[in-house]
Amino acid sequence: MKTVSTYLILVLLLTSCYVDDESSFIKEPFDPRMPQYSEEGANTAGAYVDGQPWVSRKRIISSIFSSSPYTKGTMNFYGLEDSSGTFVAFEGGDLLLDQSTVSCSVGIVLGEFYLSNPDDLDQLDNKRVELDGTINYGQMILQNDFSQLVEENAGTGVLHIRNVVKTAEGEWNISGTFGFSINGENQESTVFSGRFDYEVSDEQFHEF
Amino acid sequence: MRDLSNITATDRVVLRTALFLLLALGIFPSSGQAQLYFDIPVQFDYYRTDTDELNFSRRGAIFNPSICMVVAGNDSSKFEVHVGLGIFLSKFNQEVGSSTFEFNAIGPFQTTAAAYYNFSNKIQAGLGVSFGWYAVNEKGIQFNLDPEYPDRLGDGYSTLNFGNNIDARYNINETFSIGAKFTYWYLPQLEYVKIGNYGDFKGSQKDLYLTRLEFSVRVFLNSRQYNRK
Repeated sequence: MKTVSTYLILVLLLTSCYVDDESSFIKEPFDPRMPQYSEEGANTAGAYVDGQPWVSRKRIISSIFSSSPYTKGTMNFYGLEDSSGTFVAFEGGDLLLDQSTVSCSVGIVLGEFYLSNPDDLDQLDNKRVELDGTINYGQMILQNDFSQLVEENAGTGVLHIRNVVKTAEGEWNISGTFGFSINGENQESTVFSGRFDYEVSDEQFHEF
Repeated sequence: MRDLSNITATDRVVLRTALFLLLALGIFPSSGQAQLYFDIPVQFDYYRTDTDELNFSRRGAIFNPSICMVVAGNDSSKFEVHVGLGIFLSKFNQEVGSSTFEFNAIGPFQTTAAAYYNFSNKIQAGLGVSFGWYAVNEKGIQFNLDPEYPDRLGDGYSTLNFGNNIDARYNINETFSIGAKFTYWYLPQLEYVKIGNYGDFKGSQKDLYLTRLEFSVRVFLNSRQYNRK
Protein backbone atom coordinates (compact mmCIF):
# COMPACT_ATOMS: atom_id res chain seq x y z
CA MET A 1 0.00 0.00 0.00
CA LYS A 2 2.86 2.29 0.91
CA THR A 3 4.54 1.61 -2.47
CA VAL A 4 1.30 2.31 -4.36
CA SER A 5 0.90 5.60 -2.51
CA THR A 6 4.48 6.58 -3.30
CA TYR A 7 3.95 5.84 -7.02
CA LEU A 8 0.68 7.76 -7.03
CA ILE A 9 2.35 10.78 -5.47
CA LEU A 10 5.21 10.54 -7.97
CA VAL A 11 2.83 10.32 -10.94
CA LEU A 12 0.83 13.26 -9.55
CA LEU A 13 3.97 15.36 -9.17
CA LEU A 14 5.24 14.44 -12.63
CA THR A 15 1.96 15.35 -14.30
CA SER A 16 1.15 18.33 -12.12
CA CYS A 17 3.21 20.82 -14.07
CA TYR A 18 3.76 21.30 -17.80
CA VAL A 19 6.12 23.92 -19.21
CA ASP A 20 5.67 25.06 -22.80
CA ASP A 21 8.71 26.99 -24.02
CA GLU A 22 7.70 29.86 -26.23
CA SER A 23 11.31 30.91 -26.63
CA SER A 24 14.43 29.86 -28.49
CA PHE A 25 17.34 29.95 -26.12
CA ILE A 26 20.28 30.69 -28.41
CA LYS A 27 23.29 30.05 -26.22
CA GLU A 28 26.03 32.61 -26.55
CA PRO A 29 29.26 30.66 -27.16
CA PHE A 30 31.30 33.12 -25.08
CA ASP A 31 29.02 32.50 -22.08
CA PRO A 32 26.43 29.76 -22.73
CA ARG A 33 24.47 30.77 -19.66
CA MET A 34 23.32 33.83 -21.60
CA PRO A 35 21.17 34.21 -24.71
CA GLN A 36 23.11 35.47 -27.72
CA TYR A 37 21.94 38.79 -29.14
CA SER A 38 19.51 37.93 -31.92
CA GLU A 39 16.87 39.54 -34.12
CA GLU A 40 14.41 36.72 -34.77
CA GLY A 41 11.82 36.95 -32.01
CA ALA A 42 13.53 34.44 -29.73
CA ASN A 43 11.53 35.73 -26.73
CA THR A 44 14.58 35.88 -24.49
CA ALA A 45 16.47 38.50 -22.55
CA GLY A 46 19.63 38.38 -20.50
CA ALA A 47 22.01 40.59 -18.56
CA TYR A 48 24.56 40.42 -15.78
CA VAL A 49 22.99 41.63 -12.54
CA ASP A 50 25.79 42.45 -10.12
CA GLY A 51 27.98 40.16 -12.20
CA GLN A 52 25.59 37.20 -12.04
CA PRO A 53 23.67 35.99 -15.11
CA TRP A 54 20.03 37.03 -15.29
CA VAL A 55 17.94 35.27 -17.93
CA SER A 56 14.36 35.72 -19.00
CA ARG A 57 12.69 33.37 -21.47
CA LYS A 58 9.00 33.17 -22.26
CA ARG A 59 7.37 30.09 -20.84
CA ILE A 60 3.77 29.05 -20.34
CA ILE A 61 3.38 26.96 -17.21
CA SER A 62 0.30 24.81 -16.71
CA SER A 63 -0.47 23.12 -13.42
CA ILE A 64 -3.28 20.87 -12.28
CA PHE A 65 -3.32 22.98 -9.12
CA SER A 66 -4.12 26.14 -11.07
CA SER A 67 -7.25 26.91 -13.09
CA SER A 68 -5.35 28.63 -15.88
CA PRO A 69 -1.78 28.53 -17.13
CA TYR A 70 0.48 31.46 -16.38
CA THR A 71 3.21 32.97 -18.48
CA LYS A 72 6.62 34.06 -17.23
CA GLY A 73 9.63 35.57 -18.90
CA THR A 74 7.57 38.01 -20.94
CA MET A 75 8.21 41.49 -22.28
CA ASN A 76 5.36 43.83 -21.38
CA PHE A 77 4.64 47.49 -22.08
CA TYR A 78 2.83 49.50 -19.40
CA GLY A 79 1.47 52.91 -20.27
CA LEU A 80 2.18 55.35 -17.46
CA GLU A 81 -0.36 57.75 -15.98
CA ASP A 82 -1.45 60.66 -18.22
CA SER A 83 0.38 59.06 -21.14
CA SER A 84 3.60 60.33 -19.59
CA GLY A 85 5.65 57.45 -20.88
CA THR A 86 5.97 53.70 -20.99
CA PHE A 87 7.41 51.19 -18.61
CA VAL A 88 9.03 48.36 -20.58
CA ALA A 89 9.33 45.30 -18.34
CA PHE A 90 11.08 41.98 -18.76
CA GLU A 91 9.07 40.08 -16.18
CA GLY A 92 9.60 36.74 -14.54
CA GLY A 93 13.27 36.25 -15.21
CA ASP A 94 15.70 34.27 -13.11
CA LEU A 95 18.89 35.46 -11.49
CA LEU A 96 21.26 32.49 -11.56
CA LEU A 97 23.33 32.49 -8.41
CA ASP A 98 25.99 29.85 -7.70
CA GLN A 99 23.77 27.44 -5.84
CA SER A 100 20.28 28.84 -6.33
CA THR A 101 17.94 30.82 -8.55
CA VAL A 102 16.16 34.02 -7.54
CA SER A 103 13.19 35.49 -9.38
CA CYS A 104 14.09 38.86 -10.78
CA SER A 105 12.61 41.31 -13.26
CA VAL A 106 14.27 44.13 -15.13
CA GLY A 107 12.52 47.13 -16.58
CA ILE A 108 13.14 50.45 -18.27
CA VAL A 109 11.01 53.57 -18.00
CA LEU A 110 10.84 55.51 -21.24
CA GLY A 111 9.52 58.95 -20.32
CA GLU A 112 9.85 60.18 -23.89
CA PHE A 113 7.74 57.48 -25.53
CA TYR A 114 4.12 56.52 -24.94
CA LEU A 115 3.51 53.11 -26.47
CA SER A 116 -0.08 51.89 -26.42
CA ASN A 117 -0.05 49.26 -29.17
CA PRO A 118 2.46 47.25 -31.24
CA ASP A 119 2.42 49.70 -34.14
CA ASP A 120 3.83 52.38 -31.80
CA LEU A 121 7.08 50.40 -31.61
CA ASP A 122 8.10 51.76 -35.01
CA GLN A 123 9.09 55.06 -33.40
CA LEU A 124 11.78 53.24 -31.39
CA ASP A 125 13.65 51.74 -34.33
CA ASN A 126 17.40 52.40 -34.17
CA LYS A 127 17.01 54.73 -31.19
CA ARG A 128 19.74 55.18 -28.60
CA VAL A 129 17.96 56.20 -25.40
CA GLU A 130 20.04 57.77 -22.65
CA LEU A 131 18.80 56.54 -19.31
CA ASP A 132 19.40 59.76 -17.42
CA GLY A 133 17.83 58.64 -14.17
CA THR A 134 14.93 61.09 -14.29
CA ILE A 135 12.96 60.95 -17.56
CA ASN A 136 14.30 57.58 -18.69
CA TYR A 137 15.65 55.11 -16.17
CA GLY A 138 16.20 51.46 -15.36
CA GLN A 139 14.60 49.36 -12.66
CA MET A 140 15.65 46.07 -11.17
CA ILE A 141 13.17 44.25 -8.97
CA LEU A 142 13.81 41.06 -7.07
CA GLN A 143 10.84 38.71 -6.66
CA ASN A 144 9.13 40.27 -9.71
CA ASP A 145 7.05 42.73 -7.68
CA PHE A 146 6.38 45.62 -10.03
CA SER A 147 3.47 47.04 -8.06
CA GLN A 148 5.08 50.46 -8.25
CA LEU A 149 8.11 52.14 -9.75
CA VAL A 150 10.82 53.00 -7.26
CA GLU A 151 12.12 56.30 -8.57
CA GLU A 152 14.67 56.54 -5.74
CA ASN A 153 16.38 53.54 -7.28
CA ALA A 154 16.43 54.82 -10.85
CA GLY A 155 19.21 53.31 -12.93
CA THR A 156 21.33 55.38 -15.29
CA GLY A 157 22.81 54.00 -18.47
CA VAL A 158 21.83 53.39 -22.09
CA LEU A 159 19.16 51.50 -24.04
CA HIS A 160 19.90 50.69 -27.68
CA ILE A 161 16.88 49.66 -29.76
CA ARG A 162 18.67 47.89 -32.61
CA ASN A 163 15.91 46.28 -34.62
CA VAL A 164 12.16 46.81 -34.85
CA VAL A 165 10.39 44.91 -37.59
CA LYS A 166 6.76 44.20 -38.37
CA THR A 167 6.20 40.48 -38.94
CA ALA A 168 2.42 40.43 -39.42
CA GLU A 169 -0.56 42.67 -38.83
CA GLY A 170 -0.29 43.78 -35.21
CA GLU A 171 2.81 41.68 -34.59
CA TRP A 172 6.34 42.99 -34.29
CA ASN A 173 9.78 41.80 -33.27
CA ILE A 174 11.95 44.09 -31.19
CA SER A 175 15.61 43.57 -30.29
CA GLY A 176 18.15 45.64 -28.44
CA THR A 177 20.85 45.94 -25.86
CA PHE A 178 21.05 47.89 -22.62
CA GLY A 179 22.92 48.47 -19.42
CA PHE A 180 22.43 50.62 -16.35
CA SER A 181 23.66 51.06 -12.83
CA ILE A 182 21.56 51.88 -9.79
CA ASN A 183 23.01 54.01 -7.03
CA GLY A 184 19.85 54.52 -5.00
CA GLU A 185 19.19 54.99 -1.33
CA ASN A 186 17.96 51.44 -0.89
CA GLN A 187 19.69 49.70 -3.75
CA GLU A 188 23.10 49.64 -5.38
CA SER A 189 23.19 47.31 -8.35
CA THR A 190 24.50 46.99 -11.86
CA VAL A 191 22.54 45.54 -14.76
CA PHE A 192 25.19 45.26 -17.44
CA SER A 193 25.55 43.79 -20.95
CA GLY A 194 21.79 43.40 -21.39
CA ARG A 195 20.24 42.02 -24.56
CA PHE A 196 16.67 41.19 -25.58
CA ASP A 197 14.80 39.79 -28.56
CA TYR A 198 11.00 39.52 -28.29
CA GLU A 199 7.87 39.03 -30.31
CA VAL A 200 5.33 41.68 -29.46
CA SER A 201 1.58 41.65 -29.92
CA ASP A 202 -1.35 43.60 -28.55
CA GLU A 203 -1.78 41.43 -25.47
CA GLN A 204 1.55 42.70 -24.10
CA PHE A 205 0.28 46.30 -23.76
CA HIS A 206 -1.31 47.34 -20.46
CA GLU A 207 -1.98 50.32 -18.28
CA PHE A 208 0.34 50.49 -15.28
CA MET B 1 23.30 20.63 -36.16
CA ARG B 2 25.02 21.93 -39.28
CA ASP B 3 22.54 23.15 -41.87
CA LEU B 4 23.50 21.23 -45.01
CA SER B 5 21.10 23.23 -47.16
CA ASN B 6 23.54 26.15 -47.09
CA ILE B 7 26.61 24.71 -48.81
CA THR B 8 29.29 27.38 -49.20
CA ALA B 9 32.13 27.55 -51.73
CA THR B 10 34.53 26.35 -49.03
CA ASP B 11 32.25 23.40 -48.30
CA ARG B 12 32.28 22.47 -52.00
CA VAL B 13 36.09 22.50 -52.09
CA VAL B 14 36.19 20.30 -48.98
CA LEU B 15 33.67 17.85 -50.42
CA ARG B 16 35.54 17.62 -53.74
CA THR B 17 38.84 17.04 -51.91
CA ALA B 18 37.23 14.30 -49.81
CA LEU B 19 35.86 12.66 -52.94
CA PHE B 20 39.26 12.85 -54.63
CA LEU B 21 40.96 11.26 -51.61
CA LEU B 22 38.35 8.52 -51.46
CA LEU B 23 39.00 7.75 -55.12
CA ALA B 24 42.77 7.82 -54.54
CA LEU B 25 42.41 5.44 -51.61
CA GLY B 26 40.47 3.10 -53.85
CA ILE B 27 42.59 3.30 -56.99
CA PHE B 28 46.26 3.42 -55.90
CA PRO B 29 46.28 0.46 -53.48
CA SER B 30 44.30 -1.73 -55.87
CA SER B 31 46.81 -1.07 -58.65
CA GLY B 32 49.72 -2.04 -56.39
CA GLN B 33 51.16 1.45 -56.24
CA ALA B 34 50.24 2.07 -52.62
CA GLN B 35 49.48 0.21 -49.43
CA LEU B 36 46.38 0.73 -47.32
CA TYR B 37 46.43 0.78 -43.54
CA PHE B 38 44.23 1.64 -40.60
CA ASP B 39 45.52 4.29 -38.23
CA ILE B 40 44.00 3.60 -34.80
CA PRO B 41 44.87 6.42 -32.41
CA VAL B 42 43.97 7.44 -28.90
CA GLN B 43 43.68 11.19 -29.22
CA PHE B 44 44.18 13.85 -26.55
CA ASP B 45 43.02 17.36 -27.45
CA TYR B 46 44.25 20.39 -25.56
CA TYR B 47 42.44 23.73 -25.82
CA ARG B 48 44.01 27.04 -24.92
CA THR B 49 42.78 30.65 -24.98
CA ASP B 50 44.35 34.08 -25.01
CA THR B 51 42.02 35.46 -22.35
CA ASP B 52 41.35 34.44 -18.76
CA GLU B 53 37.64 35.04 -19.38
CA LEU B 54 37.40 31.80 -21.36
CA ASN B 55 38.05 28.46 -19.72
CA PHE B 56 38.05 25.44 -22.05
CA SER B 57 39.43 21.98 -21.41
CA ARG B 58 39.70 18.56 -22.99
CA ARG B 59 36.99 16.02 -22.17
CA GLY B 60 38.45 12.53 -22.08
CA ALA B 61 40.49 10.64 -24.63
CA ILE B 62 39.10 10.01 -28.09
CA PHE B 63 39.27 6.85 -30.16
CA ASN B 64 39.21 8.02 -33.76
CA PRO B 65 40.46 5.55 -36.42
CA SER B 66 41.06 6.56 -40.00
CA ILE B 67 41.97 4.82 -43.23
CA CYS B 68 45.25 5.79 -44.86
CA MET B 69 47.64 4.83 -47.63
CA VAL B 70 51.37 4.98 -48.04
CA VAL B 71 53.18 5.52 -51.33
CA ALA B 72 56.92 5.20 -51.94
CA GLY B 73 59.22 5.07 -54.95
CA ASN B 74 60.24 1.47 -54.30
CA ASP B 75 60.35 -1.04 -51.48
CA SER B 76 63.58 0.35 -50.00
CA SER B 77 62.91 4.06 -50.43
CA LYS B 78 64.05 6.32 -47.60
CA PHE B 79 61.05 8.57 -48.19
CA GLU B 80 57.33 7.77 -48.08
CA VAL B 81 54.19 9.81 -48.59
CA HIS B 82 51.18 9.06 -46.39
CA VAL B 83 47.61 10.27 -46.91
CA GLY B 84 44.84 9.63 -44.40
CA LEU B 85 41.11 10.15 -44.40
CA GLY B 86 38.73 9.96 -41.46
CA ILE B 87 36.22 11.93 -39.45
CA PHE B 88 37.00 14.93 -37.30
CA LEU B 89 36.18 14.35 -33.66
CA SER B 90 36.96 16.47 -30.64
CA LYS B 91 35.32 16.80 -27.23
CA PHE B 92 35.72 19.76 -24.92
CA ASN B 93 34.20 21.45 -21.90
CA GLN B 94 33.63 25.11 -21.17
CA GLU B 95 33.48 26.29 -17.59
CA VAL B 96 31.71 29.56 -16.80
CA GLY B 97 31.12 30.49 -13.20
CA SER B 98 29.94 27.33 -11.50
CA SER B 99 28.49 25.91 -14.74
CA THR B 100 30.13 23.39 -17.06
CA PHE B 101 29.00 23.01 -20.67
CA GLU B 102 29.98 20.00 -22.75
CA PHE B 103 30.60 20.32 -26.49
CA ASN B 104 31.44 17.99 -29.34
CA ALA B 105 33.11 18.97 -32.59
CA ILE B 106 32.12 16.32 -35.11
CA GLY B 107 32.58 16.38 -38.84
CA PRO B 108 32.65 14.06 -41.82
CA PHE B 109 36.11 15.03 -42.98
CA GLN B 110 39.60 15.03 -41.54
CA THR B 111 42.60 14.46 -43.74
CA THR B 112 46.30 14.25 -43.14
CA ALA B 113 49.12 14.26 -45.65
CA ALA B 114 52.68 13.66 -44.48
CA ALA B 115 56.15 12.88 -45.73
CA TYR B 116 58.13 10.31 -43.74
CA TYR B 117 61.83 9.58 -43.60
CA ASN B 118 62.99 6.07 -42.75
CA PHE B 119 65.99 6.18 -40.43
CA SER B 120 66.08 2.38 -40.52
CA ASN B 121 63.74 -0.49 -41.23
CA LYS B 122 62.17 0.07 -37.82
CA ILE B 123 62.31 3.81 -37.14
CA GLN B 124 60.70 6.56 -39.17
CA ALA B 125 59.59 10.17 -38.62
CA GLY B 126 57.19 12.36 -40.55
CA LEU B 127 56.12 15.94 -41.09
CA GLY B 128 52.72 16.76 -42.48
CA VAL B 129 49.59 18.86 -42.72
CA SER B 130 46.14 18.17 -41.30
CA PHE B 131 42.75 19.57 -42.20
CA GLY B 132 39.40 19.21 -40.47
CA TRP B 133 35.79 20.11 -41.40
CA TYR B 134 33.15 19.79 -38.70
CA ALA B 135 30.44 21.47 -36.63
CA VAL B 136 30.39 22.19 -32.92
CA ASN B 137 27.29 21.18 -30.98
CA GLU B 138 26.44 20.95 -27.34
CA LYS B 139 26.41 17.42 -25.99
CA GLY B 140 23.14 16.04 -24.72
CA ILE B 141 19.48 16.00 -25.48
CA GLN B 142 17.73 19.12 -26.65
CA PHE B 143 14.67 19.42 -24.47
CA ASN B 144 12.86 22.17 -26.35
CA LEU B 145 11.83 20.32 -29.52
CA ASP B 146 9.22 22.86 -30.59
CA PRO B 147 10.12 23.54 -34.25
CA GLU B 148 8.96 27.12 -33.88
CA TYR B 149 11.24 27.81 -30.91
CA PRO B 150 14.24 25.45 -31.05
CA ASP B 151 17.00 25.93 -28.52
CA ARG B 152 20.44 25.96 -30.08
CA LEU B 153 24.04 27.01 -29.78
CA GLY B 154 24.65 30.49 -31.13
CA ASP B 155 27.00 31.43 -33.95
CA GLY B 156 30.71 31.75 -33.29
CA TYR B 157 32.41 28.38 -33.55
CA SER B 158 34.63 27.68 -36.54
CA THR B 159 33.84 24.80 -38.87
CA LEU B 160 37.36 24.50 -40.30
CA ASN B 161 40.85 24.01 -38.98
CA PHE B 162 44.24 23.17 -40.41
CA GLY B 163 47.53 22.40 -38.81
CA ASN B 164 50.96 20.87 -39.04
CA ASN B 165 51.92 17.58 -37.50
CA ILE B 166 55.09 15.78 -36.52
CA ASP B 167 55.10 12.03 -36.11
CA ALA B 168 57.59 9.41 -34.90
CA ARG B 169 56.97 5.69 -35.43
CA TYR B 170 58.37 2.27 -34.70
CA ASN B 171 57.61 -0.62 -37.05
CA ILE B 172 57.00 -3.74 -34.94
CA ASN B 173 56.71 -6.03 -37.94
CA GLU B 174 55.29 -6.06 -41.44
CA THR B 175 51.74 -5.50 -40.22
CA PHE B 176 51.92 -3.33 -37.13
CA SER B 177 53.60 -0.06 -36.20
CA ILE B 178 53.25 2.16 -33.14
CA GLY B 179 53.89 5.85 -32.86
CA ALA B 180 53.09 9.25 -31.44
CA LYS B 181 51.92 12.31 -33.37
CA PHE B 182 51.63 15.94 -32.32
CA THR B 183 49.41 18.31 -34.32
CA TYR B 184 49.44 22.07 -33.94
CA TRP B 185 46.18 23.48 -35.31
CA TYR B 186 46.30 27.09 -36.41
CA LEU B 187 42.79 28.51 -36.78
CA PRO B 188 41.01 30.15 -33.83
CA GLN B 189 37.92 28.11 -33.07
CA LEU B 190 35.73 30.79 -31.53
CA GLU B 191 34.79 34.24 -32.80
CA TYR B 192 32.67 36.40 -30.54
CA VAL B 193 31.37 39.92 -30.07
CA LYS B 194 30.98 40.97 -26.48
CA ILE B 195 28.27 43.33 -25.35
CA GLY B 196 29.74 46.11 -23.24
CA ASN B 197 28.39 47.15 -19.85
CA TYR B 198 26.07 49.76 -21.37
CA GLY B 199 24.90 47.72 -24.35
CA ASP B 200 27.52 48.78 -26.88
CA PHE B 201 28.95 46.09 -29.14
CA LYS B 202 32.67 45.51 -28.71
CA GLY B 203 34.79 44.52 -31.68
CA SER B 204 34.88 40.96 -32.93
CA GLN B 205 37.53 38.81 -31.24
CA LYS B 206 38.95 35.41 -32.13
CA ASP B 207 40.26 32.91 -29.64
CA LEU B 208 40.40 29.23 -28.67
CA TYR B 209 43.20 27.16 -30.16
CA LEU B 210 43.71 23.42 -30.38
CA THR B 211 46.75 21.18 -30.10
CA ARG B 212 46.51 17.42 -30.33
CA LEU B 213 48.61 14.50 -29.14
CA GLU B 214 47.93 11.01 -30.50
CA PHE B 215 49.31 7.60 -29.72
CA SER B 216 48.44 5.13 -32.41
CA VAL B 217 48.74 1.63 -33.75
CA ARG B 218 48.80 1.20 -37.51
CA VAL B 219 47.61 -2.00 -39.12
CA PHE B 220 48.86 -2.47 -42.68
CA LEU B 221 46.46 -4.33 -44.88
CA ASN B 222 48.00 -5.86 -47.97
CA SER B 223 51.13 -7.40 -49.34
CA ARG B 224 53.33 -4.46 -50.11
CA GLN B 225 55.51 -3.73 -47.08
CA TYR B 226 57.85 -1.03 -48.37
CA ASN B 227 60.57 -0.55 -45.82
CA ARG B 228 59.03 -2.56 -42.97
CA LYS B 229 60.49 -5.95 -43.92
